[in-house]
Amino acid sequence: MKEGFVIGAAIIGAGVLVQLGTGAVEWEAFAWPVNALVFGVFLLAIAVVFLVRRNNYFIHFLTTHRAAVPALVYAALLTIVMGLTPQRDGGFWTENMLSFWPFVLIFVYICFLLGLLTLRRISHLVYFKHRHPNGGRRPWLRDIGFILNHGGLFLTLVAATLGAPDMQRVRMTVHTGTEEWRGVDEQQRVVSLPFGVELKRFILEQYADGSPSRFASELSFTKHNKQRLSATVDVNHPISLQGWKIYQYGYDTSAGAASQVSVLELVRDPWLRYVYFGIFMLLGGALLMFFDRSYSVRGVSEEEIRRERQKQRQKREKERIKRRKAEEFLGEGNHQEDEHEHYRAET
Amino acid sequence: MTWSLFPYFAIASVLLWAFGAVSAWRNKSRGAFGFTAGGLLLFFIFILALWITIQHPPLRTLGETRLWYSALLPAVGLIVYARWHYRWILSFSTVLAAVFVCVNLFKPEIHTQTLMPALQSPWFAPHVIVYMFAYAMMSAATLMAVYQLVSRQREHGLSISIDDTVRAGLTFLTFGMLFGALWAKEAWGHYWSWDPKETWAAITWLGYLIYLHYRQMPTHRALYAHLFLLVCFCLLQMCWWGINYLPAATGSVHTY
Ligand code: HEM
Repeated sequence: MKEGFVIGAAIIGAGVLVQLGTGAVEWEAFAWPVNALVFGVFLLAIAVVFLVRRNNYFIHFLTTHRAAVPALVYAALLTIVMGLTPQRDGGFWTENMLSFWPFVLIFVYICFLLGLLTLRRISHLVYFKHRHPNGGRRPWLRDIGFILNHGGLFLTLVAATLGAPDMQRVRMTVHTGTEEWRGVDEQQRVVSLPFGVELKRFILEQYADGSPSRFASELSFTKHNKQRLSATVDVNHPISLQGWKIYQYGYDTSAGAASQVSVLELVRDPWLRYVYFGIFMLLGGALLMFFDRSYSVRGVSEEEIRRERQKQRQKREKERIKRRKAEEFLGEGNHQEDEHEHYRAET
Repeated sequence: MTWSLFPYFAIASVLLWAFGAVSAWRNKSRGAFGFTAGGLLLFFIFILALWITIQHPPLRTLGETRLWYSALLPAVGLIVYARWHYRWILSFSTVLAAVFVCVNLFKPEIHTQTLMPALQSPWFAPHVIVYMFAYAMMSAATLMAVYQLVSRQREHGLSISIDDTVRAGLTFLTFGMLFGALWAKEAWGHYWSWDPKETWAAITWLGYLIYLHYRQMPTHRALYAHLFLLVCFCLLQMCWWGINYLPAATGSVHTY
């Protein structure tokens, strides 16, 4: 495992040097199409390393626990630092962990390992006889579980990270009576949208104490082709339109239910579907880890063994009683009542 | 159906769940399944009838959320019992469900109490329940590890039970974290924003991943693994309530 810790330390050292040389990671530079290119190159690199793996000790090493455990330990430690340090945009080194090169590189390294592991397991599933030492009755299920867990984490991390620069978040204040086609993004830049929005009616329902129990906007949309449609946006119930998700964000709190304006938040995240695919893979993998009996070295839990033993004991006991009963019945057929007494005493 | 009928349904359900829990302790699994499922059926009938009466899913008030807690706890408990046959798990779920039922019984004012709109989500109750089970499983694993450490003998069978329990707990941790992400996307527009609670949830998750992978190494030492499990449990405490005392977390949307 020592080698694994040395590799991790080297990656962190390299990260520090890059950070000193070029400053924090500029995520904006990864906006489309650069992120797609980086994604392609990363996948290609993993595939090439996978294909030349034969007889290469180092590549083999990368697919073992001796590499994985130290990588995870470094990731956990850096994330703990992040959890203890207040984070802010443009913060210094660990104050802006998401753009801190050592942190980013450790996660790139983990993704690389995950990609390699997943490929190897896919090829195992496809080409080899499934004889996992602890494979249970359906060893291929074990491969599926592995691929869902490790491949799912790979996809989730990579798509979420590379997709982040393409995500747009826009605030839009809509009014009754006028149509709004523009919003303002997080950098206060004006963004024009592929549809116009007009507030038809603002809805505010209150609890007895006056705090809002529901606020929502009845909206009408106009697309470029003049097509119109209407919809209601509730908190927790965004609607989707032309690649944008539209959220209820705020309203004129001084006017309350009479508010003539509503603030919407519009989010576009073209990589979301890949992240969700990864998330659902992870959920499936977690379920398999729960239900697939082959993960437990025995395949059954301590409790199950105990229960099984008890069941056997009860069965033996019942049989013994039955046998005794039968014997007594045969031997002393004319003493049925006594036998009955005896049976009762036995139980 | 209104809340006025709640006590009858609730008391009957809790009694059935308690019979189920006792049956599980006595290793009578048919009774455990039958009673618990019966209680669930009764409880869900109440929820469904309430739903039909108020004409919207009962998700808007604190009392309605507690209703889902009480219903989902024995349901998930039954799933865990079906898979792992832990004798204690139905007692755990029954006691917690009973607590939430009692809150609803003795504090009827919460039936109408404010729940901010962002919390009125079908994700709310599952997210919380799944984390409760994660905490229960991880606590059980930690207790077993402490036993191993104190008794100074590492019994192989018990070590394997610890792994099984951690794996079940990790399933729940993963579900809790990802349900949280899916909910956050619907409520706040993004699935992950490195809020301090999320950061510590990720750390805890990584901790248990390290434990499981370390235990798979042929050269590992059980002593280190069990000591590390105690570290993981501390991380879990940090995520659960520790961050409320953390200066780095003062802006969190999760601190209460
Ligand atoms: C979603 C999170 C993860 C889960 C649930 C998970 C779970 C597992 C499980 C259950 C196994 C044993 C699988 C089997 O033998 O069929 C395993 C093996 C392994 N995992 Fe993970 N793991 C996760 C993430 C990772 C990460 C981040 C790494 C590090 C890069 C990693 C590296 C490995 C390695 C090297 C093996 C052994 C591979 C082999 O024996 O073929 N895992 N993992």
